[in-house]
Amino acid sequence: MFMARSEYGKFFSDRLRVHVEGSTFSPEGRLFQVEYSLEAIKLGSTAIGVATSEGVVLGVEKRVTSTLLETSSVEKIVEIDRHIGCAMSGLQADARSMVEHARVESQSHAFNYNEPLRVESCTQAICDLALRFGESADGEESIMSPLWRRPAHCRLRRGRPQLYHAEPSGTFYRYDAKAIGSGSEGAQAELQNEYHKSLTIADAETLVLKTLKQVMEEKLDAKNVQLASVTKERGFRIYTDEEMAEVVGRLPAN
Amino acid sequence: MDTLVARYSRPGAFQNERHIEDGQDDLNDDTTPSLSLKFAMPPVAQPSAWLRSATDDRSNPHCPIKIAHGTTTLAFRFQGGIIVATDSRATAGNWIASQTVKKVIEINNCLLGTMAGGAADCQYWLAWLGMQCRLHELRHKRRISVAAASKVLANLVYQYKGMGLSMGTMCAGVTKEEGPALYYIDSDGTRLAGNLFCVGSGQTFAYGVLDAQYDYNLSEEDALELGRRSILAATHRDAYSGGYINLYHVKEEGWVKHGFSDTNPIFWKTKLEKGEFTNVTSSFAEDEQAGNRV
Repeated sequence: MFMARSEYGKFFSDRLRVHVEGSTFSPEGRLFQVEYSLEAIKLGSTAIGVATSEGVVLGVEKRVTSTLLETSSVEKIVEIDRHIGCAMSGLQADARSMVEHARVESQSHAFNYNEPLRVESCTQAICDLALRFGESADGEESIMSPLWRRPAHCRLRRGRPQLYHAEPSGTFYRYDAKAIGSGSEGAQAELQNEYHKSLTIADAETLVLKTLKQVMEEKLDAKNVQLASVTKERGFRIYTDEEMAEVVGRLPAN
Repeated sequence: MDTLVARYSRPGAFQNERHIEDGQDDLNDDTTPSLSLKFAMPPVAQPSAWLRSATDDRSNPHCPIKIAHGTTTLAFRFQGGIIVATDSRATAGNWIASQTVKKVIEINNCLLGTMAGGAADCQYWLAWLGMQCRLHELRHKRRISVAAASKVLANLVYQYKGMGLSMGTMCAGVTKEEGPALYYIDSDGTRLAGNLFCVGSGQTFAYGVLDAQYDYNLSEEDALELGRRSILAATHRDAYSGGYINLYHVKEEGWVKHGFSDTNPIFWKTKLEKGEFTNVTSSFAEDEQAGNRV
């Protein structure tokens, strides 16, 4: 059904130009666009999510590239709806269009069915979009999105709060705790050691920051990390500067 | 070739969109209803005139479809925020379809809309407006202004001008920037900012009371009473208004509901305790003169 392109080699001569008609498989059956995007997100800043029975905590590293940069304008955790938040790593431009898609999806679900969108459905909707980046009906230029993102979600009436991770390839998995981005390997190992089912929200806040601290190149302070939580009582919430200072102050020194 | 492949390998979510592009409105389509503002129109030259002939019971009492309207709704601005009050009767022609309709629509926790005209149009489009307001809030990280929200609705109904929409609505909200803000929007596309509005078949009766006693500096208690009393007057004289008085107070922190109360005891309380509504009596004027008060 799909054409195998023998001239796929042009990818290697001109890597910056990711320009193909639709998704083109290599003779080995690989999709380079997807593979490139999976690699690209490993260059992104680290983001961590931890799910507890009380709610989900998300934390990201903000890379402050210049002292003139207004750190509050670096936006890596966003609200999708009151019950769904999202932390991202990768290309911010792609993330923005996906967040917009998820927000509209959540609102239209509530409008059409008078019930909140489930996190799984939200992740599903985002993954559908990730797939669509790679195709185009009339052969226009299309770009696969190098983006790795993860919506986290609080409980819907019953059941445990949920944390999902979505890849640019369109696959998604549910996790108890997940790290993505450049420091993900070290961070994931740390989460694996430290995570247990009876964590409280406060434990999760500390765990997220402690893990970020280990993998960040800069010294962690209240300005270059951001935390958010999704709980049943308060919904999605980004931590204020004071709350950040309090959590950072709770970390063991060294 | 790729174009061809892509065309037949689109994910399911896309298929709905293609139907619309092709102009095939498949009514049996069981996929998620899309948000696109495209509706099937009746296949006649003048859809609006055709619809009017089937639904306008004023020009044609035997029209086959009786749309639910007949209402009294009011809202007014005062120093403490905005009072919104409505009756709760839904009529379809001479028939009272319901006495317990919620004509105040909670767009979100700080914006209220009122419902007059076609119940379905108001319910649907105010719910739609609620969704647009929420998206605005998420995109811009701040609450939408009442001016903007009312404009979104006004622009929407203007797109459907002459196509049979029937709604007269008021948007009330209090924001830090605007203070108490009140807008009237109707299906003609009119959008007016103002201090007080009454909408519906009972509007004249409500205006009579409201205009006489309205003052911007009213206390909260007096303002609530004025709202209640104005609706009571309308339910008393307008056959198409009645049921319960639905009363709200909008403040900057959000709206507060002040009950959904039966008009009947309120009427008798007003008559017997305050001595109003002396027109309601079983005796003639001559008896009154003779001192036989009833």
